[in-house]
Amino acid sequence: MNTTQWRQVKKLFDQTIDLPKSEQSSFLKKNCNDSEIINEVLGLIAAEESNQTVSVKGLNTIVISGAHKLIFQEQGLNPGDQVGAYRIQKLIGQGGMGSVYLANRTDEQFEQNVAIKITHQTIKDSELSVRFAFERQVLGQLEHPYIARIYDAGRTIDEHPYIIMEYVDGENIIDYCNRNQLSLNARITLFNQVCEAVHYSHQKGIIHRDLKPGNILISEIDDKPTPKVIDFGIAQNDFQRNTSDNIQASFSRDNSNNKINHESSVEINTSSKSNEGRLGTPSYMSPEQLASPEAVDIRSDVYAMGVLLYHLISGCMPFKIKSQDLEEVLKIKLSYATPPSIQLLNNKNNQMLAEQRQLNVKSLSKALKIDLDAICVKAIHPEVNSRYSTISALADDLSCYQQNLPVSAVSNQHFYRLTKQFKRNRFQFIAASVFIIGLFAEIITTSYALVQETKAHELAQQESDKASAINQYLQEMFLTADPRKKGKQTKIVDVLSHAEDNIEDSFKNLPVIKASLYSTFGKLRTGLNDYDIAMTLLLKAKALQEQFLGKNHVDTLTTTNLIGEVYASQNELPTALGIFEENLIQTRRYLGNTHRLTMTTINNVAVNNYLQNEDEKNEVAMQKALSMMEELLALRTQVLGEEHAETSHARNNLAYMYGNFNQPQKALKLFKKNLEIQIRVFGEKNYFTLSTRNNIGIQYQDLDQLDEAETYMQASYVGLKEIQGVEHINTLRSAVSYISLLVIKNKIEPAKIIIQEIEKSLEKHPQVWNWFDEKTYQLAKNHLELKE
Amino acid sequence: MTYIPIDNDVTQLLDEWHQGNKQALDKLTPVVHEELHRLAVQFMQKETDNHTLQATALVNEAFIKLAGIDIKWQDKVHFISMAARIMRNILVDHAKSKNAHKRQTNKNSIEFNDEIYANNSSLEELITIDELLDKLCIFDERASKIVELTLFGGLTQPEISELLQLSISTVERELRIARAWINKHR
Repeated sequence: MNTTQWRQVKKLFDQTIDLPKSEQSSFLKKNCNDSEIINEVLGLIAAEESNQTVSVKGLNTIVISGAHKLIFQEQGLNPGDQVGAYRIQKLIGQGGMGSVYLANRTDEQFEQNVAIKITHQTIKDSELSVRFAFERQVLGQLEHPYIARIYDAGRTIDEHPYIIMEYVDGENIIDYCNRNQLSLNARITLFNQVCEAVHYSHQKGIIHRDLKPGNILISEIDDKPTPKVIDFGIAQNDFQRNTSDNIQASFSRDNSNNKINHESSVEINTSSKSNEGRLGTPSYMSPEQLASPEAVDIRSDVYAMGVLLYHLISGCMPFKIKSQDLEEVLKIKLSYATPPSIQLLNNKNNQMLAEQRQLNVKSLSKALKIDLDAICVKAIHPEVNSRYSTISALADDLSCYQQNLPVSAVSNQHFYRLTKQFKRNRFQFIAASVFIIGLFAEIITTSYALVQETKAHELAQQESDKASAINQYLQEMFLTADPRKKGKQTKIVDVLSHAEDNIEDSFKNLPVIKASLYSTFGKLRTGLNDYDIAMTLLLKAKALQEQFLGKNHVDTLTTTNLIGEVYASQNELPTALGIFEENLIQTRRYLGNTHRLTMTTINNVAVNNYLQNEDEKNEVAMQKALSMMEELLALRTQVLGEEHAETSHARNNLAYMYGNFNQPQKALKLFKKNLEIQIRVFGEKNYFTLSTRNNIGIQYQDLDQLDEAETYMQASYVGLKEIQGVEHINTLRSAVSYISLLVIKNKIEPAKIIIQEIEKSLEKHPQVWNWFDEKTYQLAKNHLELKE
Repeated sequence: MTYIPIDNDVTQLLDEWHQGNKQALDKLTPVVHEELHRLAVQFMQKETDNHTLQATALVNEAFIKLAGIDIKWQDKVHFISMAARIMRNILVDHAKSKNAHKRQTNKNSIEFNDEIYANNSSLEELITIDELLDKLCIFDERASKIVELTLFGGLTQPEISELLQLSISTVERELRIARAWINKHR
């Protein structure tokens, strides 16, 4: 391009660019006969247009981000500067808040390389200095072959804190494993060495708090990969939060780690307004650590190690975190992780990931299935108590996996908690008396009836002329969703959201009706396991009811009870129990002991008390809960009659408690009585009736009457499969007890058929694996693997 | 980092440079260079909510610090032109050294992982932009200058129009085609 040509290009460009697209090329051809120039002009126009789209990074952005990087580098130290007894050699890493330098000791005969981390922020507070000194002492005690030593720490003359540590010339664990195409087994072995180091530090009372690939470096010693964990315990207190915790850098080849990939790179900084930072790598941070950095214990490290394991073995991250918003990230983190074997199948790079592990996609997914899936899911459980309680428990499970022994995350023999979960899930335990479980038709008829009976009636008294409006609304919404008419379950959910969205507009000036509807929909959502939506609706209801009806009104108390049930459904027993106990006081006082809500609340207090104390093996308290349930059964029989649905629920719950208290005969008798009544009241094809069949089967099994057990369990499984589908969690619960029984009876082939039937459902509900006993688990696992 | 005091000589140097004394520029450049650095670092240490670095703010602040406010308009024009050029040099040199560092640290790696170095892409882009501005300058010096003033001096179009004594629409047109040309070739 020469100046003359360019002048022509410029002129034509200005004349053409604002013309309609269709006219551009004909205009150019008319005004210019040099095709090179025409092409240049068209190319420029295209470039200008693409610049209008968001995807092209603006020139300004490039310059500004370059300037940012400049400034980060400009802070800190220069080669030759002295820090403590060390002389700075060069910058080897840098991050948002500080830098890492390679330095060596100058006052000794032999040269020793160290890494020095230094922060931009300064500390002047004397209290911080004291803590800092203490910290230095504790960290100095960490002596482990897989932990980078901390040699010293201090402050520069201008108050910048620094830490001097062992210099590790290594590569981050993920990159190392991928570059060397390490097998799953080799990866797990390496991971377990890291576990040793982390466990060691936990024994010394030090929590790492920022475990992630960039802090686990691998170097080869005698041709063997050897891990070194760096930044140990650095994120421990205020001092550290002001210092190295914020340094998103690491060493050597890993210098770019602070933005290692899109999945781990989002840095969340809630500290823009204060020094109370939470800067870290959210992909690896546990939800409790994200929510409140102070509330961290060793199980947060378990979580981070779980994410690392997940990433290491599958190449995928358990959660896609793109947002920088703390609330949003926290929400993602509070959900359950998809098992890695499934995540892998959804990953578009899975072929490459499998090759990096010397496998193909299918064999990798298969290798991850069940054991490793369960180990990962358990390690990164959103609920702290459901995780491995120590790093060594996680490592032990991995060792078991490597030696082909059953792993605790899957079988249930090793942990009381899981045994308990298994036991509890054998029974279809009705946690709340008016609780509606998953049955769509059931929900609609029951809740509609309930609204008519209790709510609509009371509302009619208060706003009698409005009562027909609410009835009509409900009818409209529910009748269109009646499965007998439309037959599709998904429709109901749609109708629900539609109905929920319309409440506000439909009942603008009718807060009481509005609240009542919110409450009812909240209850429906609880039944559908949509707990977040349920809670939102119920809180809206409660606020309105407290304002317009008062705290002690039956509607308000009903909503409060439902809120407790949402907590209970999510296994947050202490919270739930607190709500129920408080509500029981209120309902007794304002509604009396024989009110249905009071009785429901008694049930909830008894059940939750029982479950919670079962966790803690507190037999006295369990016995107390049992007595309470006995009283409730008597009370309901008296008030509602023997055949009332709620009476039958109390009977079921009491029988469950008897069974667990080593009174199988008593339990069996009560369950059987309940079955008779339920068949009369609900019919055969009903969730409650069929659950009772399963429960009876279990009692027979405990009494060693296996043939009777089989008859009942089979009927339960077949019936539930028919009415709820094989994917429903209730059906799976029944299936698991049925399969286990078949295995005990050595009916292996029939057991395999059922395993086959629920295979797909197991993928959807991996937690169901936890309900199997060891033998059945092995059978199921082998069978599903062989089949592939 | 040494603190550069407000130096009244700066005005004098600007004046000399304006008169065509090339040596004055040689003396002026390091002073402005250091001042821009110092301001940038200081800017980051302020720990404001918004960490976005604005080249404009830095260039303007450097100008006020170094030359004082009571300066002839012509001098300001030259100062800002120079500061934009220096800003460009600082950033590009920095980007180049970072890139060299990257190549060096990566030489032992067999496998190159694009994602890992994705964050350095803006540095490479910065170098590319610099090279393209040089090329553009060969056949269209004015357009190249206008882009430089916009990107590295942080000047608005009216400011450039005043600075270079051009109509705003001319500045707009020049900027548009120059941007298109850079985008086409980068």
